[in-house]
Amino acid sequence: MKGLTHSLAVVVAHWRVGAQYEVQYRLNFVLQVVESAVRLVTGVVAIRIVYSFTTSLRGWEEPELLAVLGVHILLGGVLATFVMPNMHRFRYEVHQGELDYALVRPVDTQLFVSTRQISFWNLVDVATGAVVIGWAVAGLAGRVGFVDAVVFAVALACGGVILYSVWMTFTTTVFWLVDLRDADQIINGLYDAGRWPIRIYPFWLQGTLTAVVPLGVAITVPAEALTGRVTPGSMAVLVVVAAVTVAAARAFWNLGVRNYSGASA
Amino acid sequence: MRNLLGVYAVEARLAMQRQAQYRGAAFISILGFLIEPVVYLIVWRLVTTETGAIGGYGTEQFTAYYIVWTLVRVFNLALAPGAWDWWVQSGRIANDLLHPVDPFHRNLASMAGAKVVWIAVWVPTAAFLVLVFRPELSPNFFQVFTFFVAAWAGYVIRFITLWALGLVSFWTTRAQALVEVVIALELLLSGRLVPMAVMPPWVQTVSSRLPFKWTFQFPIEVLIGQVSAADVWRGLGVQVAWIAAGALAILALWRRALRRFTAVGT
Repeated sequence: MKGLTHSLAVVVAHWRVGAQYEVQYRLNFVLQVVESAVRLVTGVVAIRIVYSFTTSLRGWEEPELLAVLGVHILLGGVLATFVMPNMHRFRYEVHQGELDYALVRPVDTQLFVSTRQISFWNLVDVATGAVVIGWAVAGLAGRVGFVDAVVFAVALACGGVILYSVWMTFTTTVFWLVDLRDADQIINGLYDAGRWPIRIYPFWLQGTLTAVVPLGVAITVPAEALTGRVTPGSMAVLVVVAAVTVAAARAFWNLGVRNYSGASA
Repeated sequence: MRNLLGVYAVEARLAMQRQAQYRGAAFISILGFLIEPVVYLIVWRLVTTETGAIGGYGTEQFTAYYIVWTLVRVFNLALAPGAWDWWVQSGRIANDLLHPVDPFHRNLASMAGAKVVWIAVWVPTAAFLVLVFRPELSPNFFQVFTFFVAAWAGYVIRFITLWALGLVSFWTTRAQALVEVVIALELLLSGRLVPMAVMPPWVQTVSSRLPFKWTFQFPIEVLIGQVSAADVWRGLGVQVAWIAAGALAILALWRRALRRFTAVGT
């Protein structure tokens, strides 16, 4: 218990220092607002174009698609704020042989490399996603009850855990692979595929986005929870996938660290 | 002029040889590119299955469109404006300025050479898409020939557009927001998201007066036969006009940009 409290204190201290550092650069806030607005407009325009020709996409109506878009933007903001800066630094340090300095710290090393940095202004994306979700809920005209909201919160947390674990596992391959920039295209592309509900995809793509790289299920199931479409089965799949990806990320990290020989002077 | 052509040939050949060493990396990148059009394709196949053809695009046309999309995407890859931030801020561009050939020509030639390898690597991924989605695509010689001309011209237009956008880095270190807006406009108005025939008429008008459509949708439609022969020639003329206008703009911007640049070398 004492170890957990200590770890949490380290995480909070990192986030506080990171946020204090970033708020010095206020122009970045304006730039982030522009970026978020662009992302929102392109996402909404894509949905509006589709629904100008049809009222339902394999049973999904426009407000439900907005819920998927909202979850996509919100979780993308969580990734960009809390996960990506740490993954970039981790990759850089392995290349430079500087990871040793992180590995010798008296805290859990995976936790340490995963929480050292925060990209504070990307929280604008989190806020944008929340607004889009609110917009979707308004369009669903009273279909979202208290239980739906609670299930949505649980599903969203599982989705966040899956995203972190997938990116952590992916980034840990840097111990063996020299350059991940090309592979970035694939993982980013798969995340973008989550902008549409995976239920509209053919079976092979649904399977890929659920079992192989479970980014799609991490976004679609929370949106299903919000729109009353979720089934106990799909929630169970989400929870199992979250647990498996966390365990896999941990095991892969341990394997990577054992193989890492360091290169610092 | 002959010297410049020689420089293009050497730069392109060197880039081709360099890229050929990283075939696996190119293949992985192309796999990443495939996801975007496959998603669009699945969505529009669903819509047209329900509604029938939209603006001359039925299920077969959408399928052919998004499969050719993947090749045109490879063609119109150009230097990302973000590269300029580092290039200018780190002062590394000073090295290139000492070179007797303008970096514009060297980069244009180099990316064109690398593209040859990318296109070769694209073939197996396209074969996979064809097997999965079974497009109806039977272009004649004229369509294939003019497609390659239009695709290379589209690459030059996009290269010039992104180069001009990159030059903004000489004036500000915060060009990223402007780049994001332009890339979003490109997404919506180039035919990358959807063919313009699906868009409202006023969007189609705006799109035809900007360069984006001529880098993306035009080459695709030439190959899948969505434009008449007369419109193909007219479109190629528009591409030439955009290249000429872009080249003049780059020339003017480049001189002004260089006057602002100072660096202390090591």
